[in-house]
This record gives sequence, C-alpha cells and structure tokens, in this order.
Amino acid sequence: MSATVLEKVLRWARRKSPWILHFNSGGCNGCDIEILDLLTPRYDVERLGILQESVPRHADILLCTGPVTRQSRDRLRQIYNQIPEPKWVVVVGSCGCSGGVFQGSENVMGGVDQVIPVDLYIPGCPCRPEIIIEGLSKLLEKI
Amino acid sequence: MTRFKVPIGPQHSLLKEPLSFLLTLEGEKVVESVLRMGYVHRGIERLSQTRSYIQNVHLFERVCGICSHIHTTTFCMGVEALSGITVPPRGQYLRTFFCELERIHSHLLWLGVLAKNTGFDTIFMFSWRDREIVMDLMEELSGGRVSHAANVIGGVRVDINDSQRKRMTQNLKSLSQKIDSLQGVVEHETSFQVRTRNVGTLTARQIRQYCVVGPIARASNVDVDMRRDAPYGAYDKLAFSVITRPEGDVWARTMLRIQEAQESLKMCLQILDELPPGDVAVPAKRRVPPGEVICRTEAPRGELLYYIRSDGSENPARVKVRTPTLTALATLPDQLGNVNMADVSVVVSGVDLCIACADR
Amino acid sequence: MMKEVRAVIEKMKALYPNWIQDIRELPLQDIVIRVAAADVHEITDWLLKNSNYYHLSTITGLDNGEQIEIYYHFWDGNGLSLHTMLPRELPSMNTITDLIPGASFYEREVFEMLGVKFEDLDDSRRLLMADDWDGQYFPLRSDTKDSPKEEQK
Repeated sequence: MSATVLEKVLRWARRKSPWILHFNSGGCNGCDIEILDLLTPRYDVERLGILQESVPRHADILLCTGPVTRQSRDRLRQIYNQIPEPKWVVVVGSCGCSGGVFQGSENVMGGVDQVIPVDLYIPGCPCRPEIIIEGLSKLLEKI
Repeated sequence: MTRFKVPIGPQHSLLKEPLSFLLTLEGEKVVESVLRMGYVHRGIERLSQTRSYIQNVHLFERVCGICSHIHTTTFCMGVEALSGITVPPRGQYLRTFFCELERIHSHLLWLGVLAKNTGFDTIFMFSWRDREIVMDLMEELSGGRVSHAANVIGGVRVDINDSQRKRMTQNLKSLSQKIDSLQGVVEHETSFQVRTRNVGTLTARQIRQYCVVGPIARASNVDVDMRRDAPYGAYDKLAFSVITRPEGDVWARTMLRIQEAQESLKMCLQILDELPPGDVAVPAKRRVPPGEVICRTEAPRGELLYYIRSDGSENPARVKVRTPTLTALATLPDQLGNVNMADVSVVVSGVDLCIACADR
Repeated sequence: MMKEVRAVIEKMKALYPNWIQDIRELPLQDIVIRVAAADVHEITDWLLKNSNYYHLSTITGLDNGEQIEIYYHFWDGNGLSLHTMLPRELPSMNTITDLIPGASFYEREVFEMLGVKFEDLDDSRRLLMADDWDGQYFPLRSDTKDSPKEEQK
C-alpha cells in the first residue's frame, strides 16, 4: 500500500516540477532563443514548475535543438548519460527532428534521434514558444 | 602556485551555443585560455553549391537565427547585382526597416543575456519583455517571429498599409521610452558598473591587428560602419549617427549597444514616416548570368561579407560567408588574459557571440 | 571612393609593374587585381605601410575544377581584393599572420576546406572540422563526393 502511495507522490512531484536542461547540438540559435523566451515574463513557464538548470545531474528533461554535428555527437551522448533516471528527451525544432534544412551535409549526422532516444518531437523552424509549452504539458501528462 | 585547468565545455549555463574553453588558472587568475569551436559547423557553404538560388535564400536564413534577415539581405543584394535588377524604393525601405528592427531585437537580447550572466536577472526579464514589442511587429508583418522569410530575390514579399503604419509608430515610440529607462538603470546601477568596467579591454591596435568589426571595434574608438561607408538599401537617405566610445571595455560595449538600439529606433520611425509608394519587388530570373560579386552589409555584430560566384547555371558555383563573430573569437584569449575566474562570464558575454554565424 | 583605390593601384603599378597581372571591376564597387602567389606577402606588406588598406575582411578559397583560387579581401571605403591561383596538387602559400595576426583564423579555415597549406602558420589546430577528421577529404574541393554517413546509436 505504502509503495503505491509513495509512487503517487513521486509521480506528482515529477509532474509538478520538471527541471530542464537545454543543449544546442549544432542549431542556428532560432529555437534556442525561443526556449529562452519561455523564461521571460510573457510566456513564463515557471508557473508550470519548470526551471532551467545548468548541470545535467539536476535535470529531468533534456531540451535539445539543432541537428547533431560530428563534433557535438559525443558530447550529446555524454550529457544524456549524466542525467539521472527517470529522464525524458524533448527535441525542439525541425533540425533536431530530422536534420531540417541541413540534410545531406557531411558534417551533420541527422536528427537527435540518431544519437539518443527521444520522447517528444516538436517541429517548427523555429518553434513558437506556445507550441513548446503545449508539447511540454503533453509530456507532463504522460509522466 | 599550482596551476589547474577548468573546462567550460559545450554545455554550460552561460553559453547558449556550444563552444569549448580550456582555462588554466593560477589561484583565481586566468593565465591561459584555449578555444575550440566547430560544434555548429553544418557545412552550409558546401550545401549551397547543390541548391538553387531560391532555395539558398531559405538556407542562408538559417545560418543564424538572431541575424537571419541580414544574411538573406546580403545574399539577395549580391544576386540582384549579378542579375542586373534593381529593387524598387519601397522594397529598399522595407528591407532596411527589417534590418533595423533586427538590430534592436539583437541588442536587447544581448543585454538580457549579459545581465543574466552577471547575476542581474531583473534587466534580463525587463529587456526580453520589451523585446516582445519588436517580435510582435516582425510577426505582424511577415508571419514569423525569428525567421521572417521577408526577402526574395528582387525585393521583399511583405507590405505595410496605413493603419498598420500608425499603430507601429505608436508601439515603437513606447519602446523608445522603455529603452531609455533601461539605459537609466544600467547607467546608475553601481554593482553592474563595477563588474563591467575595465574588464575585457581591447585597444584600437588590437582591433586593427585582429580585424575585428562591429560594436566591439566601435567601443574601442575605431570608426567603422558599413551602413555609412558602403550604403545599401535605404541608408543613403536616412539620417543616423555612428556612435563610438573610447573606453574599450565591456561597459563601453553595453552603453554603445543601447545607444545603437536607440539610433535604430529613430531610423525605424523615419522609415515609417517617409515610406515611398510603389511596388515592393521586381521579378527575378532563375538563372543568374556568370560573374562574381562581393557585397558587404552591417549585421548587428559587425561587417558581413558575401562573395558569390556564378557560372550561369541555377546553382551558385561558390558562396563564401564572412561573419563578424569569427574575429571576435580570436580576441577572446587576449581579453581573458589575467582576469579573475569570476569575470570570465562577463568577458565571454560581453563579446556577443554568435557561434552559429562563426561556424556556419 | 573609387578614385582612392584607383590611385593606390596606379602607385603600385608605377613602383612594381610586374606585380599586377590583371585588373577587373566587380559590381558594387570592388576592384580585384590578379597577382602571383609568391608576391602576396610582399604586396600585403606594401599595402599596410603605404595605404589605408589594413582591414582584411576574409580570405576566400575556391576550387574551379582546374586550379585553386584564393582571394584576399581588403577594405577601406572601397574593396580591394588580391586574386591568386594555385595548382590543385599540393597547393601552398606563405602565411601573412606575421603582418596581420587575425588572418590565422581565415587561413586555418581555407586549409580545412580546400587543403591549402600555409607555410610557417603557427597555429594549425582544428578550427571547424571535427576532432576525428584527419584530412581524409576537403569539403570544398570539386572532386569530393559526399562521404558515407556512419550508422549511429
């Protein structure tokens, strides 16, 4: 009995305070400034409990933007491995989903799912902050 | 004293884009710093050879998200010069309007990021909130907040009607008051000044040797601005002043960028006032006659150069992009010489890095 | 503006007539002079000492199928570019970083994209390409096919 109650409390805690880590694995910066816009007064994701963290060990959700370039592939894997379980990966932007405009380039490996498993794809070039919030709240419902 | 190395890696809270530093510290002082870029190299120049000119307008917009419009402006200017077509005056004015709006949005963004990295979160929130006025304007005109796709080869694809003009003028005037108040806070806040004065200083001689351009050069008394020296768009008809400051440190760059944002606002109001009637674009040919052209413009971070060579087919033979942040990165080891560890975030943010531009 | 750059070129022609092989004007007020690869260092030195052309915007490299072309773009109110040709096998040039330290980033990039070796370049660390690239292919060479992508995961 107490185990189920504990599980429920943990699930509630995780759903109400997802801390995000943002990593740009080779993008043009458009989606990154829209993610940073989420923290500003107009969109204000702190009302959903979301805080931006600076260290992978403190984060629950990894927000990834940009196509994965050859140089940033290993770093992305390292960061993913450092985030403690349970963790979720959200890809923001068309470049992260599939390579976007840069498909076919030699230095670009493709989307983020070529390197790490992804839970949510948010397409857009660049994404609007509203759709990032909607995507994150859909993910939070599934936790 | 023992030396130890501190990596500031591709993922760090002060960097929005991946860039790697290896700092060697002796106590609290940085003695040596090594830079590694290339995390965002997507091979855009190679990709552009396999796509047509029209597709390349779409590609070059995504070299950088913050200064996307100026990249397409420069590319379209070059292709128009090669094809021998002239953009009508209304199109030139609208192109310039977007360029200046982009400059305001880029400088306000930078101010917020610098303030966040120095621990001054209030200015971050205020300047990004005020930046939303500019983003709304750009979205109303073109449909996109960050990537506008406003340029086509031959002109622009957006237009303003009279009621929009009146409303935009009012919004821009209210933004002008907000930027004035931001300047007031930054000027009088002693703790911010203490953190940014005499940090990351560059002399005019270093600027010359490293071929640095843009606000960093102007903050060290080097008077260079492509809008005045090589006028393009509607700049030859607009009244604006090029601001320089003698101090050369992060404080001078902060004040310079805020003043430049105010100048850009005045230019935007002038453009809305003097917008000439007529078409906004002329049709362009698919194939560009063979030739080569070099075009230079002033991006928010400095001089942007495009060298385009055409061989008469639908795809360009070579497009070379020179972005302003490349040489600014070359000065970072000099700027980080002998600063305290706590000042590293101020120095790195003061350069206004755009690694996506530098790596392409 | 154009008068000044023309005056500089006339002065150069008068003092060193065999430097300039060809002059052409580009649209948007730029002048390109073709010079020999071995003369570039001397010409840069002369320009820095005898004119206002000290700002080097960039060094462009391109492969036209038969030769490698290098452009040095200078600016002082007007653009003045030096254009030189190199053979495709083992192309090499003298570095100008002793005159303009900022040129090291430009030269490192031209090396990584086209394989042009700059003699005496102090800093030849990797700039844009990844750490696991070792000169197996140069992206902007015309005979480089798209390299096969490795399977990831």
